[in-house]
Parts: sequence; structure tokens; C-alpha cells
Amino acid sequence: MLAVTLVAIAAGPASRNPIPDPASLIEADSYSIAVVMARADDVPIQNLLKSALNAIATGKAKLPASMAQASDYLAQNNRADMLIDGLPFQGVRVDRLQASGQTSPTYASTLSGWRGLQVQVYNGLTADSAGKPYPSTTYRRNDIVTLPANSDPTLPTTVSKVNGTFLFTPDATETKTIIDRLVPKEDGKSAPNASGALASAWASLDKSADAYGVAINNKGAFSTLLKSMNNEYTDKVRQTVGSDRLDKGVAATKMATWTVNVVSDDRAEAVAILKVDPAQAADVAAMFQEGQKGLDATKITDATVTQSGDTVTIKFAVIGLQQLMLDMLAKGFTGGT
Amino acid sequence: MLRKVSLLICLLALAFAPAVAQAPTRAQLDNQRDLLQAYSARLMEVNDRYQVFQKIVDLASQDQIDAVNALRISPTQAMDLLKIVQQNMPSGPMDDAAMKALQKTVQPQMEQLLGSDQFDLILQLFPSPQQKAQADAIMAEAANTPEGQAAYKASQALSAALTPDQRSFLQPYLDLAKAPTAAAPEGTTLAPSTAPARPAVRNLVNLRRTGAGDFFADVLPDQNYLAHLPRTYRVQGGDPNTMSALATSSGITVRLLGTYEGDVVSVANVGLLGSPALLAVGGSGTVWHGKLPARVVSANPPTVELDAGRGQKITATLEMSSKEQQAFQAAGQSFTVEGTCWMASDKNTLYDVEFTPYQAPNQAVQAAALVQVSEDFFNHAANEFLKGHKDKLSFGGPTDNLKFRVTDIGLTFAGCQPGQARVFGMGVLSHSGLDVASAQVELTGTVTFNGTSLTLAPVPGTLAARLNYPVFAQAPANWGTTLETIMGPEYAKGFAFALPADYQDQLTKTGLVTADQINGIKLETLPTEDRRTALASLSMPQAAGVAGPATNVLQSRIQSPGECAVVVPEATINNAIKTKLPGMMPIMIDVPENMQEQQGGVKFKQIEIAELDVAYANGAFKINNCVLNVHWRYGIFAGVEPGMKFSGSATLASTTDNPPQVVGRLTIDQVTFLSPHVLAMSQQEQDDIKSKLLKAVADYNLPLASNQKFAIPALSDQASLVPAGAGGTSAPSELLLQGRLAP
Repeated sequence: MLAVTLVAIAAGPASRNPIPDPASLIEADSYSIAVVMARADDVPIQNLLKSALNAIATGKAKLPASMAQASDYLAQNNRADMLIDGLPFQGVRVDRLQASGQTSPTYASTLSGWRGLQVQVYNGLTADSAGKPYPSTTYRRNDIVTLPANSDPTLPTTVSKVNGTFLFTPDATETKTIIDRLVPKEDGKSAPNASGALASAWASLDKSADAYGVAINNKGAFSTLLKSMNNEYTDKVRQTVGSDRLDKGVAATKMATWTVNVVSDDRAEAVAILKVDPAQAADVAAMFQEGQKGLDATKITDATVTQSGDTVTIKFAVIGLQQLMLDMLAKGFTGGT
Repeated sequence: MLRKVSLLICLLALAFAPAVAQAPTRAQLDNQRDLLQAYSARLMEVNDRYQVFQKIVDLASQDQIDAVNALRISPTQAMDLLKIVQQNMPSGPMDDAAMKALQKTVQPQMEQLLGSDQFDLILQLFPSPQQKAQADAIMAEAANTPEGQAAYKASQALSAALTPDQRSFLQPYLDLAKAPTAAAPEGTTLAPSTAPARPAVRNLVNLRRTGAGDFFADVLPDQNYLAHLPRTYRVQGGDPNTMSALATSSGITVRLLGTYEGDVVSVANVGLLGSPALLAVGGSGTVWHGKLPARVVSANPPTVELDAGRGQKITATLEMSSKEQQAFQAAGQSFTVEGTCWMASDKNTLYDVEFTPYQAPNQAVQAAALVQVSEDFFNHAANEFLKGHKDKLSFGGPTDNLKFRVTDIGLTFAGCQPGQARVFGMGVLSHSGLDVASAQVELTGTVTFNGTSLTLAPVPGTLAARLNYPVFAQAPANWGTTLETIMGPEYAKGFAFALPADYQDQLTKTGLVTADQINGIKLETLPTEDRRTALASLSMPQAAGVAGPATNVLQSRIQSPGECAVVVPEATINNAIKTKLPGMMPIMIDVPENMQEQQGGVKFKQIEIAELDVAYANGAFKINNCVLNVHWRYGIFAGVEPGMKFSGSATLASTTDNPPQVVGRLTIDQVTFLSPHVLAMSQQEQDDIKSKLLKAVADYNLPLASNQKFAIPALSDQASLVPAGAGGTSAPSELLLQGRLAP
């Protein structure tokens, strides 16, 4: 009944989803922001999407259940053109530190086109497998849906769709704050973005790359984050460079910025620039030189580390890009960045 | 892909699935219809009181609203979508495998038809799980209201009366009424709404009582000439005993005083004062409600002559309250009067009168010719078209459960601006014999004629759609606007009705009109509120250099209901005589075989009009001089002999036959014989011949070739335009030809 009645409602003009300003996700105490941007006129990105679609169509890659219908449709019709028509895509992740020392991310994923297909994805995310809706509250005509409880604190607890952007946040309060920034009120005005150290760093960032970001070592955030990252990759690096040395190097790093550009359907080139305590810069550079030995050569290659004053520049290439993207998709939208 | 689209297709497939169960009997269908109306009325009561529908609509997200506005499905695409489902229906049983096969075939076709962008927009309309839950919560709240409980009870009664097939089809509708819950859901928001009171008016309605005990009042276009489509009101209030005594299942015509709003008429509570709210109109005769120009023919008893258009005059006596009498006295000698007229064999009486000033329509145009068409002519044509295009305007064969048929299409000028017309249609959806819904659609368009086609260009914001059964429910005006936008350019450019390709050539070949004149044809309309007096007038501009008085193109020349009239002004006829007659001279007229034989074996084979001085004036052809010669044959001999010359007049007239024949009639004022044989006779003999000749001419109706039928295959195989009469008028001086549609 609701579907039928919707056919007869009047309002403003229709459009593709607007790409939100990533800064609208930044809070005063945020320490990191990462953005992935796929532009429609970017040929390497187009090639990457075509390859990914082929992987889906041939069954080499599987997407999460919430995307099953959309991926079946795309694969069934081999519609690479449709995928590309949906661009641009922007994925944003902004992190804050919780009192517990764990990071608390907010995600915003925006695909400009194919809003209808995205409705199917959204409807899949907001109900259980039996179709029972997850609980929700409404704020300024936007549903804020509470996702099932999860033991991983880095996973979001709410999802909502704001101006077509899938917004995943740690709590409804944060969602409301962001809605106020993204959706103008009746007076036509939106709430201002937050100011702070990260917002300042973000403002001066070059935003032309396919992926880019900045992280500031706000109140020892890097060290705290490193402690929370007890996984096989950090363990390998620890073993290679030494645990104390790693902790010291991380504590000495004040800020990191990075850019990533996709140069083919399987390779991306990354540059990370670290601002480090000048007294520690040489050792940090040396540490990264040694640390790269512990990296997976099937994923990371051509790494170089240079140091100049307080700046350590790390360059490397990511290969096997298609698989990396499919792996991220397989984790769902929350793994987007 | 896409579970929701699949669901939609499944529902369509189920609807189109062949009927397998035994059809319900007439009595069962009547009961089902009454229960369907009862249930629908209860739902409307819930909605009226708690605005449930609006609350559900308000759940729409901005994205969904945007999608609706971006949607573009042309009328052709909409029909093609239906056809895709119909054409791909499997012939066997509709099991899971058949359904999946159908989906696989249909979905790519739907996307191909609409385009990926539009298909994606449709996907955006599907509600989220949260929206569905919120809608369910609103419905659950409604279920706990007294009105909601009554609706649920009615839904159960209807469900029990339906066949399994019907119940399956109507289940989503039945599910709108939920069983009441023990406690109201949290956050109950439903609150009764109240509408401001409107003044009561007395209207002519058909009051009926259903088997379920509900009362409905129908405003029917057959009785109410201010309405062009039927409208049904639920009756609230009133004395149930009186209404039960009056109303039957088929209904009784009453003048009902009440407040007419939406789908409800609230019967006025008049107390002990004034006329009762319900006044039955009984006895033999006919009754109608309308609004007509009138002139007073008697002050006491107050009597008026009503101009009912199309040549119809009605003399009626007014029955008035003291307030109405005061208005009558203040209205003067001529006015427009709205009221209900009871026409008995001996007397016509006008009730419930309301007077407004009247101004005769006047649109003066230098016209070479004029075609006037009455609204009922158009509606006859529209329904002939309906008969001729049943297959295109309906679906569902004898073995199908679901059937749709267009039951009425038509045109009216009521409520339109000059130059505009409102076209309307009504269709009925039925399942297993039960009419489950009837809907009306109408739009107003600007009518233009460009020489080769007649075009109706929709006026933005005029598209209206409503349900008129099982209850009346008008879609909000902005929904129509949205639908217009959705239908896009194909709708906006309008609908063109092409005329036969060779008609211009045929007309111009006669030399009487030029192509420029045809291309300059203008359309004027007289949009009166009463359908009987409204008309459309197509006027052809006068040829260059032809002078004559301007023609009032809005003065009706239509003589009878259902007719059209062709009007040729005097100046046009005289111009044609002046330009065409010299080239036609001499005019040879074959003498009919049975009149050729003369005394002594001489045969008069032809009459030759050797000289003719004729002009059209005061509604007749004035023959100032006509010289006739006679072509004779006698055995192997033949010759031409002077006959006579005469002056007189000729008119066109119609016979009293059924159908009437258009004939020419000649009146001779003065005759002079030129025949040497006649002149050789005695004066007495000549006078005798003259007398016989004048009588024979006076009695003779010259059949005219224009009595032929003109087939109109564009309407239907049987449709044709037939002459219905002819004549002339002196003021203004015009030649008139009447036509009507047959059958």
C-alpha cells in the first residue's frame, strides 16, 4: 500500500545522490580521516570496476547477503556500464578515540547513481534475514536504524541513509549531529562542521587523489590505536622492528598524510608522509625500512622510505587491487575504507 | 533480482491467471458487492476520522518523493508494461516454476521498456522495513478505534462471502483492517480530526439501501445535467426509519438536503421547521436537475420558459419558498435558473430554484461556414468509439479471473474556459464477476484545429483521478500534477485526432473553399454549466473579398438532442452562386423515367436550365428569373424546344419520415410559357396547364443527393453521420443542415 501511495506524492526535483563534504563527519576530537574517491572519468577506476564485475559474474568473488540482489543483477546482465554510470563513489572513515582506548569509527559511503539498487541494499541492511525490521528512531525524516549488537567496538551500531549516503555511526547522537550538517533545516541553513586539529589538517590536504587522508597524533592517539591493533600484521611488524622501537616511533610521529592513486586495474601507488619528532626522524625512517620486510610481497611492492628533516616519506605500490576491493566489499560497506 | 519487483509481477500474474473455480451466482455477487461497499465505507470512516492514509503517506522519505518526481512513464509505456505481463503469461498452472520463468522473461523487458534509469527509480519507491513497520503500527492503532473495529468486522463479513479466488485477490485490501489488539501500541498518535461545517444544499440524488443496511446517494449524469460522471456519497445522519421506508436496493429519486463533502452527504437536521430533508420525487414523468437560461412567461403563477438547448424549450411553473420568491422577483424577466424540474404529462414544475443573471453568448466572426456540435453528439461519438474499440479498451477474456473494461468515455465543456474541453473516462475492474473497483479519470485540454487534425493539449494541473466504487475517493490535486509529470512529454503534447487525409482535397476541388480557409478554421466553445446548452463551434473564415454580416458562432443552431449543425451564411452562398453558377450553365436535369412519357408518345428526356438568376436571402433561394428548355424525343426524332420562364423561391426542408429526408422545395410566383405548342393553345388551356404545374411543383419534394450516409470508420464499423434535417433561417439569413450519428 505504501509503495502504491508513494507514486502519487509531489515534492522537489530528483537527482543523483550528492557527494557529501567528508569534513562533515569530523568532530573536534577526531584524529583520523580517510577518503576513497572513485570518479566516473577515471580510466583505471573503470578498468578496475570491470574486472571486479567479471570476478563477481564468474563466481570468483562473493558479496555480502545485503548486496546479493544487486550483485546478481549486475552479474547476470554483465552491466559494467551500469557500475560506471553509478559513479562517483566516495567512502569516508573518520575515527575518534573512546575512553577505553579503542577507536570509534564513523563511515559514510556514497554512490551517486542507481539509487534504486541502493534501496534494495539499504532494505537488506535494516532488517534481519526474515525481513523483521531492526529498531529505529526518526530524526528529521531520516530513520536511524540500530544494528544488532556486535562485540567488535570498531563496528558501527547505527545505519541511516542521509541524502542517499549510507551513514554508519557509533551511536544515534552522532548520526543526528551529522544529519544536521548534511541536511539544511527549514531556514535553509545547515549546522557548521566541527573545528579542531584534524579539521585544520584536513583543510590543507590535497584532495585530488583516488584515496587520501590525514591522521594526527592527538593525545597519543597513534599509540593507543597501535595497542588496539593486535592482529597478525602488526605482530609481524613488531617482530621485525622490535616492540619498543615500534612504540617509540609511533609516539614520535605527530601527523601522517597519505595519497593513493589507482594507475591500472591491478595496481595503486601510495605515498605516505609522516611528520616526526626531528630527533626521532632518522630512526623512524630506518624502522620503516626494516618493517617493510615483514609486509606481504603479494600485496605491497616497490616500497621506498626517505627522510628529510622531520619528514619521512614512504612510497609503495599496492598490487592485487581487484582482490583487495572485493575483499572490502565482502566485508560490507563498513569495510569501505 | 529484486524481490519486490518479483512480488509485483507475481501479483499481476495471479490476477491474470485463468479462472478455474465456478463463478458466483447473481445473488452472491449482489451480496458481495454490498459487503464490499460496507467494508470500504467503514475504512473511509476510519480514514476520515483519523487521517490514516495521510499519516502513511507522510512516512515517505525525501528520496522516495524525489524518485516519484523523477519518474517518467508515458501512457504508451504503461500500456506496454501491462501487455508484457499479459503476453508472457504461461499457459499452464501458475506454480513456482512458471512464476520464476515469467519473472526471468519479464524483468529484462521491463527494464528495456523503461530504460535503466527509470527502472532504478521504480526500485527507489519500495518502502524500507522501518516504513512498513511504522505503517503497520498506524494501522494497528486504527484497529483499536471503534471505527477500526467496525471495519474489521466488515472485512470478516466480506471475506466470508468471497470465493477463494476472490479472497486471494482481495486479501491485501482485506488486510487493511486489522484485528484489534488488547492494548494500543505505544506512542498512539491517532486523534480524531474535524472538518469545518459547510452549508447544506438540496440536490437530486438516487437514494439506495444495500443489503448490508448502508445508505448511498448517487448523483447520476442521466438526471443531473450539471454532472458528467456519476458520484456516490455515503449517507450519514437522517431519520433511519424514513430512509428505510423510502430507499430500495435499486434506489429512489429524492431531493436530499444535506452537506455534500468528499464521499459523504450529511443529511441536514431541519427539525420541525422548513421542508423535510428528504423529499421523494414520485409518480410518472421525468425529473432532472440543471441550470438553464429562462424567461418569465407568467408572473402568477410564476412560470418560465427554459431554453434547454438543442432547440428544446420547456415551460415550467416554479414552486418556491418565500425566500426563493423574493429572489425570483429580483431576478427580472430573463435569467439563468438552477433547479430540479419534475416533468409530468400535464405540468412541469421547477423546485429548489436559484437565480443568476444571464447574458446571451455572442462571438461575432466573419465566417464562411460553421459547424456546431452539441455535447451529447460528442458523447454519442465517444461511446460509439468505445463500442468500436472494446478490445483496445479492455482486457480479460471469458476464462480470465480479472477483467477490466472502460465503461464510459465522453467530453464536457462544463467548468472549462472557452476553447477548452474536459475529456473523461470511467473503467471497472472485476474479479470472478464481482466489480471490485471503478475509477474515473478526467483532464481538461485546450482544443485546437490546424486544418488536418483536432488536438487536445492537456492544461497542466487538470488531470484528476478518483475511485467511485466501492467508495468515492478523490486523489489530491497535487497527485494529478505528479502523474502528469510522470507521463512526461507524450502526455503533455496532447492527443491529436487526424481527419481523413483527402478531405481537404475533396473540399477545395469543389472550388467553394480554399485550403487557406480550411487551415484557418477556428474552434470556439460555449462552456455552460448545464451539459444540454454547451456546444462547440468550428468556424471557417470568410473568403477574401466576400462581405457579409458577422456570424454569432455561439448562438446555437442545433435543432435536436444529439445533433450537429452545418451553418452556411447568406454571403457564402451568394458568393458561391456568383463564382460557380456561370460555369455550370446550362444545367441539364434528367427527367425521371416515369415522368418522361407525354401525350401522343413524345418523351421529355431532359430539362435544360438555360438562364438562372438566383440569390440567397432571408433563408431561401430567390429565383428572379429561370428559363427552361425541354429536350424531347419522338421516335427517331429529337429536339430542343423553349419551355418557360419563371420566378419564385426554393428552400431546403426535411420530411417527416424516419429517418427524415432532406429535400428541395420550389415555389413558383410567376410563370411565362415559351413553348410554341403551349402558346398555340387557348388561354383557358394555358391557365389550366399553369395551375396544374404550380400544384405539381408545390407538392413535389426534390430528393437531394446529400441524403447519403457518411461512414466514420474511425469511430466504429457501423458508425455513420446521417442527415437529420435541413432548412433556412431568415434572421440571420443562413442555410442549415442537421446531422446525427447512427446507429
